Amino acid sequence: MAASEGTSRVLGHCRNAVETLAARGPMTPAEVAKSIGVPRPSAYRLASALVHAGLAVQDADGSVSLSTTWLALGDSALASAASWFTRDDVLRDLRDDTRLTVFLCVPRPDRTVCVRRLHGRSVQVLILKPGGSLPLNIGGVGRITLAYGPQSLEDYLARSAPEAVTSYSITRPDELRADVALSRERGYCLSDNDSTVGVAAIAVPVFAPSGEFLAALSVAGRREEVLDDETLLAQRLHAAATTIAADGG
Amino acid sequence: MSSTEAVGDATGMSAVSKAMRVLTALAETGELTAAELAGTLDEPITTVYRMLGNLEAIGWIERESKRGGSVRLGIDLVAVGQAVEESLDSRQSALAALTRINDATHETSYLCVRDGNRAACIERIDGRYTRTEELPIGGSLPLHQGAGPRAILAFESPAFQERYLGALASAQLNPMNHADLARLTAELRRTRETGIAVSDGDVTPGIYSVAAPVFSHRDEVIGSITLSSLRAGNDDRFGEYDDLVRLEARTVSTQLGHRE
Repeated sequence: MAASEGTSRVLGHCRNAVETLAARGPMTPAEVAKSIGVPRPSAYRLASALVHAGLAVQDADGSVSLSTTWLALGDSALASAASWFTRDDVLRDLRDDTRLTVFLCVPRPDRTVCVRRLHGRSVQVLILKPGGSLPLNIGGVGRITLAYGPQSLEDYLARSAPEAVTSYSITRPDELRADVALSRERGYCLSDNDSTVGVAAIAVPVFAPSGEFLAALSVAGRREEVLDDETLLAQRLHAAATTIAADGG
Repeated sequence: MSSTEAVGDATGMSAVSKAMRVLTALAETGELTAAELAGTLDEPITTVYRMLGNLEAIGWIERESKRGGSVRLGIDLVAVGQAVEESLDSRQSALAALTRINDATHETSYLCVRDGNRAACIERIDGRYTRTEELPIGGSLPLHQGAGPRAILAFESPAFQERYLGALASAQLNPMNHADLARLTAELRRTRETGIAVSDGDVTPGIYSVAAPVFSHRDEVIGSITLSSLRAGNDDRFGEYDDLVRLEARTVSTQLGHRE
């Protein structure tokens, strides 16, 4: 049991080291030690374990960086996160027709995680990219997941305190309850300024033929582009959602 | 103290190595049950459950909640992969390779990338004694002309090649005749077999160019590296040039995460 406790602690440090290297680029083991709060000798051992496992490489100057092994791991994780999804062509058509940025996001506890982003023709919406996530109170994809996803609103509120990212973000429980009710009534969610000021989005749920919630699908762009065509875009999104879920789930 | 250190060392090394074996097995197959993983890794199922518990705690794997459910890589790994991909500087890697080619041969070397149906030169180092004029930085050639462009065309998808060759044959202006098309097709096949494209005076008379493709970690051709030299006098060195270009293109591909 003691050995297992040691293992889980080591792996926790290992994850922290990988995340700090991913965020900040090459670092010496001493810098890693400082960044993740472990003694220097531990960081040296951690670095050599990562290098030994092929997860990191060490330069001549001693600095450690993540290896290209992560590219294959990331691609594979992305593929299995939405293994039902095979219709990239539908998302491309949606982007080309609407000229807006298209997002596909899958639910995880307390957040929604982006698995596809196709840049729009006019403005690039940068808040989300593949692998990145939004809390369930933010953006069209977050809020539609809150309305239809596997995690109930009350469970979400019990586990996390919703935070604002702009002054338009919805954070109060009663406002979130009203938002969820509105999304369910309309079948889509309109996000206006609440994730990025100046940006609006419309999001719809993607359901498997079995009725299981698979993902959130949205288009985002400059406010005028989205708000002027709200109903039309919602219809277009519902059609795309039905098509991409047809042979999945 | 020193004995605890030693234990910690061994734990760390083996914990990370074992974690890596699980990740690798899942990356190769997509999804596996714990029992299948135990078989693949040749570990007792109890050990596998413990490893999965530890890996789930750090978000590197995910498990279906039902008993005997499948295990897959954690979605957090996507963000790490993205960060590594963004940190790769393909142009910098290629420029280093062009510099090594130039240092070793004193000949002109350049990097091409595909731009629609053409290949554009985006980095170039001129030869010490001669400067071939065929592709300045920013210049481009159709994908079937010259070694650098052809090294890209040969490794594009079969569908792309078919479309491209079809367009050459049915062009309004100067459609390519049957014999030339057959010659080009054979040359592309030879390039795929040997890993290099050779242009001996077909763009500029008297210029020998050899090029090799650069691949991404997704096994897609993303460009080519070319060595270009004057024909006169150097003929016996061309074999060395071919090997050097093949090697340097492979080095860049490896740095970008490509595996053979």
